[in-house]
Amino acid sequence: MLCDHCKKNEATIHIKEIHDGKCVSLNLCAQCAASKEEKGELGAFGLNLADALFHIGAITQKLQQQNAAHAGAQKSGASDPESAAKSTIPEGPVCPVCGWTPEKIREANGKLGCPECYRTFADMINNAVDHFQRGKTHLGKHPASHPGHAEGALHAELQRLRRELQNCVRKEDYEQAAVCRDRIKEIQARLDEK
Amino acid sequence: MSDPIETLLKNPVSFLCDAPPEEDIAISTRIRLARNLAGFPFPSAADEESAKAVCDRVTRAAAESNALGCPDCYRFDPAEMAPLDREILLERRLASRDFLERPFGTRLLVRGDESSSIMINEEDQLRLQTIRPGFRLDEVWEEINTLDDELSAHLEYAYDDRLGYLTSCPTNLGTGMRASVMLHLPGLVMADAIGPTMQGVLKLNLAVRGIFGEGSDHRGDLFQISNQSTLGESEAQILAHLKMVIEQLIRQEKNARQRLLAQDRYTLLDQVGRAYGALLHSYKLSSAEALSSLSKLRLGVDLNLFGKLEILRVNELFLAINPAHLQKLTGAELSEAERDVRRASLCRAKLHP
Ligand SMILES: [Zn+2]
Ligand SMILES: [Zn+2]
Repeated sequence: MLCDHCKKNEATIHIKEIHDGKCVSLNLCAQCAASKEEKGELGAFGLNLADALFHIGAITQKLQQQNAAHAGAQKSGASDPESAAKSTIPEGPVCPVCGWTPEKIREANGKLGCPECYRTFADMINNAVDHFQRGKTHLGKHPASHPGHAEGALHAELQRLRRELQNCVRKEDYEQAAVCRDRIKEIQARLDEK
Repeated sequence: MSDPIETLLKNPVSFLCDAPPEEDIAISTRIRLARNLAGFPFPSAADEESAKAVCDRVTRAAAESNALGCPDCYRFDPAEMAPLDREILLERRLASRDFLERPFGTRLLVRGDESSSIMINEEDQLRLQTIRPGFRLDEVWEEINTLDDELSAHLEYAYDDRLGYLTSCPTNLGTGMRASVMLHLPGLVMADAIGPTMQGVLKLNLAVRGIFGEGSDHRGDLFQISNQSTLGESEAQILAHLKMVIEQLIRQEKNARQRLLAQDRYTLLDQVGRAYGALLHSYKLSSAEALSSLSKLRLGVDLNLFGKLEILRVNELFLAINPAHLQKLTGAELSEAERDVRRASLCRAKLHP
């Protein structure tokens, strides 16, 4: 029997996992089992964390359908190739700081790109949190405040601006790019002071 | 410090060796906290520059706060270590496989006695860990809570009033806390009661690691029980719930052992005796056979079947028979077949009456 995960090696470890009252069996080679156990993936979530958490498969599908619809609309009445090129890609949410998308989160097996992602993908995350957390609100400890507070916000803004700068250059919007560059310098200077 | 790995190897692992004898069923208690810095991408989205910046900041904070006794702490940069040395960290439960395989920005800081450590740039930028022998959730929490407070005075964590500590994966959101107890449950396994018991544990919203069901005995009858949910309850509530379930499991294991002794005494004695025989007289021992035999021997020691054998010697072997430790102790790289021979000779030597 081949390993369920890598589909290459012979499966030597057979696991019966009870999840949601159902018995799921999993056959793994020693290597995959070791790496899964290390990552804690032999626990309740099994193999596809991102799908289990966010139903990202469904979100991606919806986006593709929107894309197809858009492309159709463009074909029927498009005369301006430049605007067509710009608008045929109706993007899902993109994190302004790290640039991650739902697809990227899926690739990363349910991990997010940065703290700002929690705001960008709030709807998706709130839904998921309902499924696997016991509550929606943090009731535990909070960090002791310290003098360096708000530095984090500057770092996040710096990254957002760098991303925006890249986009401006790609779109050949040099005016906006210059604005970004100035802001970046300003923030960098403030961070260097600290 | 000359070669920190060599120094590590000379020390007994505290979580295996310092347990009071009455804590024989719960082997160790571990709590991990996931933390990230405000304004920096999580490790999976970070480039080398950003990962290194985080690594430097955390290293500095650890030094400034004296949280791990640094600079007298161990410091490992896995990306620059030999593969075998990395495996040592894994076998001593100081690092995860995922962490050791990351290409850049990773660093491990470890207190001198190995009880507390910080993995920098694992799945989250900081993974604090405290591990102690036996069943000591309150004590371990107090220790890691202090470590966390000391660090947070020097670092700005990514934190949201409603969602708590923001983590790379939303399964750790909120408290960012994963508390776990490693249990040795050979009685429940032998009595064929482990399946239903663990099913019950899962229903209580706890996670079980360890392999149960078919082929259950080759992991040494070890089960790690931990909290599943991290958001919506305080740390104290999560720990109280876990504590209650662990206490119940320990009672069940004790009952299973007593029942086996009363109803099926010779089957139990036979299994323990054969395991001891295998460890004392084999010339080739696979990892799986050694673990399963050590588990049964440990049960025998717990039940006072061997007057002179100390549990510490058995516990030490649980670590020493692992491939990397075996090779480091031998001082040579060994093939799997050579390891089996070496493992058998180690067990013979250590357990010889
Ligand atoms: Zn595999
Ligand atoms: Zn992001």
